[in-house]
Amino acid sequence: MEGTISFEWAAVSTEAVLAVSAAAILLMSAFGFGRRAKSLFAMFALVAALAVQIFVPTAAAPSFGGMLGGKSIFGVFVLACAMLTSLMAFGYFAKGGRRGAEFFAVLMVCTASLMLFVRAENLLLSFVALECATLCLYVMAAWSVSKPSSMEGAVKYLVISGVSGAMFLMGLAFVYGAGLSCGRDLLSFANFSSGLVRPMFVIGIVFVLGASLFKLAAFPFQFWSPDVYQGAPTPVSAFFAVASKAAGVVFLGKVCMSLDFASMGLSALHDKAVLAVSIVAGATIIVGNLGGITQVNAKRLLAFSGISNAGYLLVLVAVVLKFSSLGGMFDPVLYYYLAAYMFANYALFFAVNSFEGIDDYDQSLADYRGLSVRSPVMTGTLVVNLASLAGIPPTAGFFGKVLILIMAWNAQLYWLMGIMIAGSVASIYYYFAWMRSAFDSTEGGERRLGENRVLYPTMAALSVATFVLGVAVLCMYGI
Amino acid sequence: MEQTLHQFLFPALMLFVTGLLGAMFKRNLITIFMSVELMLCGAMLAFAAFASAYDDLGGAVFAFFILTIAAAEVAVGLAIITRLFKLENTVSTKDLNTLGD
Repeated sequence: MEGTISFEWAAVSTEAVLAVSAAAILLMSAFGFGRRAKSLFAMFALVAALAVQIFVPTAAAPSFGGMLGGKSIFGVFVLACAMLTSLMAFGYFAKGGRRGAEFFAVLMVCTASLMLFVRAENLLLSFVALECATLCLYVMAAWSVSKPSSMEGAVKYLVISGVSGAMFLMGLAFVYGAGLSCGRDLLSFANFSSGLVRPMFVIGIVFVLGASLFKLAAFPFQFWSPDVYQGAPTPVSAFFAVASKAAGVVFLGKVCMSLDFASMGLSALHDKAVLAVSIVAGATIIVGNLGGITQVNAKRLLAFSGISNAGYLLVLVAVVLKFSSLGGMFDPVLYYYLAAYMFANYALFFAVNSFEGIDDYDQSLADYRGLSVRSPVMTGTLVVNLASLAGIPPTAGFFGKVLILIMAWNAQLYWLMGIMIAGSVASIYYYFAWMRSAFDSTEGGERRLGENRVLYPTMAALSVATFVLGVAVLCMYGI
Repeated sequence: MEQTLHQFLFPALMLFVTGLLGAMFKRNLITIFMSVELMLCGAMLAFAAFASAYDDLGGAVFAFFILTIAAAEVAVGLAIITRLFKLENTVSTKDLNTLGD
């Protein structure tokens, strides 16, 4: 590697498209383009980025001196999130939210950074990409500058994310120091296993993993998410709930799979690590579901739902940490679950977005009363997607949970399975409370429904996707 | 060499812990924000200490990355806090209670 400089531009083509487009959007303001032109350009750029991500072939081998891994399906996933967020943002801006096509530029930079974060094979790159994404998230959370709720959410996210970033960094310092003391570059994922014998490395990696639990909104760092989801503009809340959380899980899974305890003969440490991750997963499921039960605000409810889903995903991480032989199943199960989660969450956030008044945080389940009469499309969206989140067959959410349960069964994490099933059952209560209020016709909600041309088709499409993704599994196994 | 390394690592950890405690227990947003920066400084000092103790340039480069990121974070963070002050006329976490049920 020494003495040669190689720039494999094809490896970062998608990120480059996003970054250049973001800069172009900012420049377009200087040349007097209107908001509409900029928004259309943003949409076009996102489609172009998706095309590049899918069709430009790249080597699977790490590039940029082993820092950057090959492209993964996560790129497609996060681009889909960005597109859905942009679609929602059109409606949001039309509704009297703060206008400004620069939002799309920030969103694109954030998307590109999350993609780099997940592809990083080196903790230095992980950190820089993570901070870049976080900075964009601060800006997006604070986008409604005239609303105190948005600023309050943004400030809370700022402080908590700042602390977690500093923790990540301190962990990195320890890992770096441990690497220097044994003459190996332990910052690189490939060398993680050889560092496990050094206490300094273990402390560092615990800091790093703990800090990434913040991103995931997992116990014990879940407290920020209800406030931030509630305060942030709804399109941004959806991005927080899906893209940012998914990036955290993929990162955690990747680090855990790089830690090969068996080859170093550290079975005692291995057991402790598995137990720690399992406890975090179990506690996250419990906290998320208990918190959800008392919620009467739709956005906060979705935040607690997000916490419990982070718990289910952590079960998956515990499984691959316990048996790395199951690592091959990690990606298919994870991305199936994430796809189901993305469809359901975005559909619900679309519903929330078309329903709320002028201020974002003011969202009560009682407002949904009588919805079944006023809007069948929205009611259908609520029913299908809440059923998916609650894990009712034959929606995609059900099969996602079943897949994770099968993995946990194979890894002999029986008590964790118990918590997961109990949590899912408890969650039915609050998901159905929302559904029930839509069918409750005692007194109609007075909220005006948003009128936006893209809103209803998108909601319908997402609901169909939730359904089809579930039925596809049935067909695949010929049940 | 070990001796000097520890002489630098100890203050680095002290800075980090001071910042963490400040971020946890202070009420003023500006103070909390400064405490977060203190934590970053602690990490930066640790990097610099490792880099100089083992004669490796990587840590020094790292410190520059952190410096840049911290500067960007301050720019965005102070903008948000200033805006909050304009809207709510407060920078105390005690008054941040708009959100909730």
